[in-house]
Amino acid sequence: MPPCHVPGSADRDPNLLSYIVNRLLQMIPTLLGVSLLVFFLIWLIPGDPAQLLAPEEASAQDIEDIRRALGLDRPLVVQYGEWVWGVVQGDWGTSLYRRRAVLPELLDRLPATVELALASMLLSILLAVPAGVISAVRQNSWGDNVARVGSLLGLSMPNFWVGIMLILLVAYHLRWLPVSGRGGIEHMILPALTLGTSMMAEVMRVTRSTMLEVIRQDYIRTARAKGLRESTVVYKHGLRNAMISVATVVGLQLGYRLGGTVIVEQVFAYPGVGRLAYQSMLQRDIPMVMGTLLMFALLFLFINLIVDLIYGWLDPRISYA
Amino acid sequence: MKSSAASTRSARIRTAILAAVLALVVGFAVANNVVVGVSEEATTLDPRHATDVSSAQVTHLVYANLLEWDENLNIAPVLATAIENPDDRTYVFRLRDDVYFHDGVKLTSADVKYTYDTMRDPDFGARNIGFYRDIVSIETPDDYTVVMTLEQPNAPFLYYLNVGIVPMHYAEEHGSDYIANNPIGAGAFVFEEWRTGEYIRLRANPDYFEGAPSIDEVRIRPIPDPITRTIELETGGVQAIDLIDDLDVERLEMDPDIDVMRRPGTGFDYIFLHTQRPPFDDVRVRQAIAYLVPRQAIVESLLYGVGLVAYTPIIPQSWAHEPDVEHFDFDVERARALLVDAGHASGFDIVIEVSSAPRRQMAEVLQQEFAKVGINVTIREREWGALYADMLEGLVDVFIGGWRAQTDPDRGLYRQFHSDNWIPAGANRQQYANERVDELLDAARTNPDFEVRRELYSEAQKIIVEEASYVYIFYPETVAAKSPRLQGFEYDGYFYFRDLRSATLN
Repeated sequence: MPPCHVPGSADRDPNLLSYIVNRLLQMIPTLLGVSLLVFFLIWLIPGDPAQLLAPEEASAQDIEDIRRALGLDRPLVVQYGEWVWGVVQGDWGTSLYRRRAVLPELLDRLPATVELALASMLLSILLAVPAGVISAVRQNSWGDNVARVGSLLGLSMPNFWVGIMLILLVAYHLRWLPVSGRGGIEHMILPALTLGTSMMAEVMRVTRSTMLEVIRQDYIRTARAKGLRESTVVYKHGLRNAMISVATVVGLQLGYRLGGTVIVEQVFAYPGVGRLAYQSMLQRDIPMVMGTLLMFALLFLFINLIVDLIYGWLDPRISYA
Repeated sequence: MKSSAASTRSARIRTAILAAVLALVVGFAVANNVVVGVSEEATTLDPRHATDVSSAQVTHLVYANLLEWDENLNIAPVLATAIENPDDRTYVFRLRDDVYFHDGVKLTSADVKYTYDTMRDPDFGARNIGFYRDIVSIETPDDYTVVMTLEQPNAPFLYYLNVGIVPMHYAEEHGSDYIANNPIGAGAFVFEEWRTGEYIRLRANPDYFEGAPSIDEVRIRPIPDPITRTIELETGGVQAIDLIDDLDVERLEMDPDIDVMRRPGTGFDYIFLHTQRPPFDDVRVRQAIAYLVPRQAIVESLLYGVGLVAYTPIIPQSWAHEPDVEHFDFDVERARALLVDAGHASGFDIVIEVSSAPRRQMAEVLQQEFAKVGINVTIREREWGALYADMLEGLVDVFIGGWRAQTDPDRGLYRQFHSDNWIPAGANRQQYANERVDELLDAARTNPDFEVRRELYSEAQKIIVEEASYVYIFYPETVAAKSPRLQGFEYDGYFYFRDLRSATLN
């Protein structure tokens, strides 16, 4: 349910809780739809899990035995139904390749992905939003030009290249930070920077363009005419109104980041879910693919909900009736 | 008085802290901890499922096998002290009686029987079940004797007994899913912890039957990116890595702080030609293709010299490798003559299928060479799963692929060239058939005498190469690297990190 604008109602929503419950309930059919789609799509694309599991020398009989042992010979509807029933009970199945339970493995890896995504989000909010504001307020100044060139670079440089360059410079030549792996904060800096570059660029551009729009509005002129200080005008009247678009972009970008960051995980040997999802797809490891995609979908839905709640906080005109 | 007592006490505390810190630092410096960077993370640590390199390189440290083999593929007993072969269908293994699992329980013949009984049980779902179908029964007349009876003589059978022995009491209680994460073996290292995506930590087994390893702790870290992996080695973050980029080999070989370990791998890359489909149903066309492959140039330019030119399907270090076969050295004129002979003077159109970037590059090289005789090549790159499914249906005419793990010649020849193994029965996907080859391969498969087998394989290889249903390009090399501090360690093409059992760290 999209948030609706109710002009003039400034009171805080008494309906907030029921709105949240409602949204949570709506997630169920969405998740079912996503899982159904994914399940049948995997079976639609060419490539057979039992064939890929067996060694290349395998005979048709070997492949058949493997198929039966893993229950892949049963009708798809039965397999899907069993999977759904398992998920409801907290059992997300067993990986065909890894022969280990899917959910614990995902939960083991999730923190690494979440902390990396949050770190890169933090970076982009702390650096890109101020840069965007300055860029907009002092349009066409040298600061604006630097920020714009920077964001263009951030968007155009491929992630893997940025990552390898950072490793070469900071970890190899200067030896300031560890090359790869997960550990303390020092392990997170380079991957977060790498992951953050494109996000920062995106957030900076949106902040700038929205701010440019906002500061041309009448109410900004009014604020200035009242004799308010420029910083109050920019940050309280300008930025606050621009934040809706920024929050949307940050939310979307965070969602993508949580969906795994294959390249950054690869370059920095960082233990996230992205590479796992990618490899499981190549191996047609159906329970693992289903598990990772269900988790991505869940995270995305939650982030959307949080972003919608933030809208209301940013703009009191938005209510959750 | 009071203040001096307090200062003495604080001085004592300070000394104690200093001592503790020192002990800690010294302790770290003395501990023989090795970190190994690997290209792929293990998938499971149940050795019965661990058929991929990334898993096997860990299970070979945690578990002990009945047998292993050396560099030249000669069988070397590990848990078995003696192998008797009373008749050609029976193998008797005498086991060591001084082997304990990491939980202190003694390893007996029952564990060996259990391990291989589960592997050949269709309900267990072992990926390699096909290798154990010939076993009729496994018996244990006493605690240290295992008798395996086969349905038919099977000479290469011993090469499939390299699976780690799992403890029956533990496996029956917990099941395979649990073992996958919590392995107990009888190997040189005891499993400590697996932080998924980060590392697997093992510590030395003080009671290892061949002597406790000198290395106290091994940490196996997946570092998928080759550049990152190499830099970790160069900066001392890891002491050994399992795979380096071909491009980096020359540079690292010059580096005095890095030892590069190169050895022939376990397979070959080749061009597959479907022998029942025109125009490749004509042996002259296949031979023409074989003459058009610039093997040396491919090894030098695409592999940066890291690989050996290949002429036969048997790897060069094998006792069965026959060097004296038709080489089909690059020769456009002979190719053209053969094509004219076959009625294809003006060439034809083909599609070469590939499923990876390096093989697409090879296909591009071939595209240029083939054009010289009027063969127009279209390259089709697809993801492996999709390509493989079509291949098993017999829908692929030409593709560039690779075989690995060809440790025994039977694996390399019987399953790929015997006419009984035409898909879907086996891996003869090119549907090659030659009666003499069938006879030779049957004879070699059932004869336990290696000298006789060598001669049979020699003749078979000559025919198979001559008839060119595969066109061999190169044998890849296995290239790993280590720090010179890690001594007595060679990366092993078959058992990977097995030298860590005896290596030392300076």
